[in-house]
Amino acid sequence: MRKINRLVALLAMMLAIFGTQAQTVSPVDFMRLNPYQMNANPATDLPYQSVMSLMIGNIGLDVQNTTLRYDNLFEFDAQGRPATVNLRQFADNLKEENYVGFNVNMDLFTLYKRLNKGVLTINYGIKAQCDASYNDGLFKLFGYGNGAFVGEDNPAKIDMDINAMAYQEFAVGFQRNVNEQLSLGGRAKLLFGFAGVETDAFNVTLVTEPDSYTLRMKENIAMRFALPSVVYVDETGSLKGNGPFGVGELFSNPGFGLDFAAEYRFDEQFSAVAAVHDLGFIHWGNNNIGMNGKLNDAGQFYDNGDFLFKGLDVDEWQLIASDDSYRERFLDSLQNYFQLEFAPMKEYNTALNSCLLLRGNYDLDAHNRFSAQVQGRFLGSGFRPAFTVAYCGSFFDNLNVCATYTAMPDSYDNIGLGLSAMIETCNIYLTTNNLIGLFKPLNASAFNAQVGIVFNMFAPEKRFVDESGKPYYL
Amino acid sequence: MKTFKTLFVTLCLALLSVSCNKDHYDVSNVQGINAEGEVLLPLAFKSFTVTDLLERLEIQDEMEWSESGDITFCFDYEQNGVVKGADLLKFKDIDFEEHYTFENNYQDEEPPFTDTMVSVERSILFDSEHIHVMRAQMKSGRFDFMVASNLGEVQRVVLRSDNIKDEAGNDFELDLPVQNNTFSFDMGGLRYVSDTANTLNLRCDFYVHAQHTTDPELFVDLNIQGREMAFSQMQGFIDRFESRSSLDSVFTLFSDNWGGILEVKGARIKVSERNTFGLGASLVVDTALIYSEGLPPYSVIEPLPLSVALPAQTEFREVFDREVNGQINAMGGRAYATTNFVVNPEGIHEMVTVNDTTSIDTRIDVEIPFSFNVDHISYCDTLDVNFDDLEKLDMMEQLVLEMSFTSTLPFNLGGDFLLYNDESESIVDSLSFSPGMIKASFDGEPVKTDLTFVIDEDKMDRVTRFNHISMNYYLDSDAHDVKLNANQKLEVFLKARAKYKTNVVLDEWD
Repeated sequence: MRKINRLVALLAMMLAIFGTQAQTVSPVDFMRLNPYQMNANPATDLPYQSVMSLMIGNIGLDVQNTTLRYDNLFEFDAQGRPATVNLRQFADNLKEENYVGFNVNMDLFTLYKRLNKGVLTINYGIKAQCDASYNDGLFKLFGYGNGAFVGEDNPAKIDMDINAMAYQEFAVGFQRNVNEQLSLGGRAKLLFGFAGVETDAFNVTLVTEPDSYTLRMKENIAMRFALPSVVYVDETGSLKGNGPFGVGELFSNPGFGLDFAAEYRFDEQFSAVAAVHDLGFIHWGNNNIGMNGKLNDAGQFYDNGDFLFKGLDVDEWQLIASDDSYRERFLDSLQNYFQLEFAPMKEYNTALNSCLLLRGNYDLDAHNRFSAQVQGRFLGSGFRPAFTVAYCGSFFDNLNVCATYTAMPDSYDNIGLGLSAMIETCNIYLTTNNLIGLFKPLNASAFNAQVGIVFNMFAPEKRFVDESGKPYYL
Repeated sequence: MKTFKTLFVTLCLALLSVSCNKDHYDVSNVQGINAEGEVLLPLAFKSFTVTDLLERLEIQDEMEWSESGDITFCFDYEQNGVVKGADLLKFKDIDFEEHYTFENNYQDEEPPFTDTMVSVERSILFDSEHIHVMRAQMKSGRFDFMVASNLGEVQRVVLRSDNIKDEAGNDFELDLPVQNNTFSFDMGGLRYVSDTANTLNLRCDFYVHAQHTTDPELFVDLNIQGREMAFSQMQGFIDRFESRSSLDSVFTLFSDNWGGILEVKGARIKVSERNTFGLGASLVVDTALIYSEGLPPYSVIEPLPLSVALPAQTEFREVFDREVNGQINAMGGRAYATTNFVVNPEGIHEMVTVNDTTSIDTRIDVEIPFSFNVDHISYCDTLDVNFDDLEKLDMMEQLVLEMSFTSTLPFNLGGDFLLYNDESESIVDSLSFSPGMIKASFDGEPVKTDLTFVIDEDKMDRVTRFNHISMNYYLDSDAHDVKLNANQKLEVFLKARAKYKTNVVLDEWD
């Protein structure tokens, strides 16, 4: 059972870490009465005098996983329980390039206050983002063996690109209606990085020579880690722990970011939004560690930077076959070729995952809006576009509903739903961008959930109140 | 709009009603991993040069290599002192008895109470059929005397010899006390000089304290025993003499692992002799036979008898060099020869000097070039293995072993491999290369042979249960006369193509 647990843990890590496409589209972005729509569109004109939340205003979890599927990994018994891992089936269902992403966002403090000229926004939150791309080489190598990868022109290639960061964000913004048609908004964000991972190279290639079956492995792994100073590299190149974690660690690695947006209303029904998010960087200045994986010259299998296995001398086979201790030493020695080296490294900057957004809105009436949006985000592992259509409406005087459909590369089944209820001044909301994924999270290409409670502290602004004095959005 | 809202709410309720099957995510029952694929792997290689081969034969000490890599298998046999000067300079023990009588001057009267002396003289001959010693340095020798006389008790004796000289060159004289009528003296270190060969003149003066007999005749009985008489050097004459000698030597070619018959081509037998007698000698070979298991004995020298002159010289001189062809068992055999050495075959009468280190010495060099016609030579060996992890091989559906041989060896190869289990005392499987399956190279160009062995699931099951391999290789030169060279080699490369299709039970890998 211990092995099963290890396997499951490994799969869980793969699903969680390897499957990271961060910050996909959320129904919150389209909910007209949710103050956190300003995260996507800082120029939006909120119908509130002021809004505040503490700790639980916005808790969001976002996972995207283009191809890894729980159901593809297992063969199931008659009761529907997973019985065995099927490597080939799993590998067959992967694409040549795959992507996983993970994003956690918690807004711990939010205050939006309408002033004479516009709305002042103040936010403090914590964010963690991880995204990784990988090819199908590793799994196909296990699923098919190297017999499926023969020749220089058909190597087994394992490529990965893993990038992640966790940081705090202090944001101060302002939204202003320039005139009846145009609104502008922006936020300046002071960031404090906590930990980061960046991949410069992660390539392993295995070439099987067709005549002799000689195996040549090339390895090039170069990653950078920015870690809290409780972890350091000692003089032997090993990672070591160093005492308890200090509060000061939270405020090291400064960064800066900007969001800005413009919304233009063509008439009472049509409007358009253009926005840029997370334009900025984090400067990782403390306790950076470089990890390099290159083949070590550890003996007979080293050949000009590669691991080259041409078989063993017959005499050595005889020793391996007849001498237990020699066999043990031989197997141990193989590890020496593949040692990872850790070394302290200089400070570096990491760009934030910037996002471009274009949206068009059509207001059927004061209670129903249809939107279409294209969004593209620059992630460490590449550019990820998304197209979304959304409907947002008000029902039963206190219920807000938003339905979305989002299409992303290798992810086309994202039907989302957002619900929010106004109870007195309390706005409680719950959203997901993939209802199917809600019930089958390990088989969904994307999953997003956001929950929160926001307090509307004062009466809505007059222009959002109907003739009876009731806010028309209710 | 109302219809749209109704549809929307219905959709939401339908989605929310989807139930989650928790068993679907219960991984505790996962038993293993289904794996299916094909692994290509280089397994083993080996380059067997002829040098490596000779290492296995443990006969490198007998090998000589030329710069071009030609190999010669060399045996040296040296027999010093086939005829030894020391043997000639030894003499047989002498046992000599003599009765001496003297007239008694005191037959009728009481002898005076004074000392009486009687003298006896005797020439003692050193018996030798072949040498005539005129001068010599005594190496050893002892004379024991026993005296019996009616004179009375002999008190002392004075020995004198004019052809024995002391270190100063004076005639030998020795005054010895006599006890119990016996005395002896050692001749070691004395010099012998005589005009008459092999003759030692000795005079003994016996002193009696007071004669008391009145018998008419006095007598002295003298018993002389000469023992361990030998010269370290002599000058004199040597007659023609013969000495028979024989050689009977068992020789080994290869280890016991090898068996079969080698057709030896162009072997050379060289005989060198050294004769330090200062006289000419001759060697006559009567018999020179090779015995080898499974083969009739044959003479390596034809025709016989063979006579060779051995002039006097202080260094070895090659007196015989002849090519020999024949068959021999790979394990070796027995060489048997009989010879007759004759010193001074012409009977020349000439004074020579002979030391006890003088000798006729023989050295035989046998050079067998690695040039054979090999007919089914075999080599056996065993190997103990411990492949506990081989049980994992049962995951394999099929294992294809692809062997590639590149040979410049001038003989075909084949072999049998028996996989044996000691515990069950049974042969679990075997693998055979028929003789000649791995092709020889007779023109020096590499010859490649590819062999493929397919091991299916049944065979795999058997293969995993052996712990002992018995190997038997066969060599043959396919009726070619082949010559081994250090640069010739056999390169073996083994690779595997393994198809696996299995459910790996996770607990087994824990």
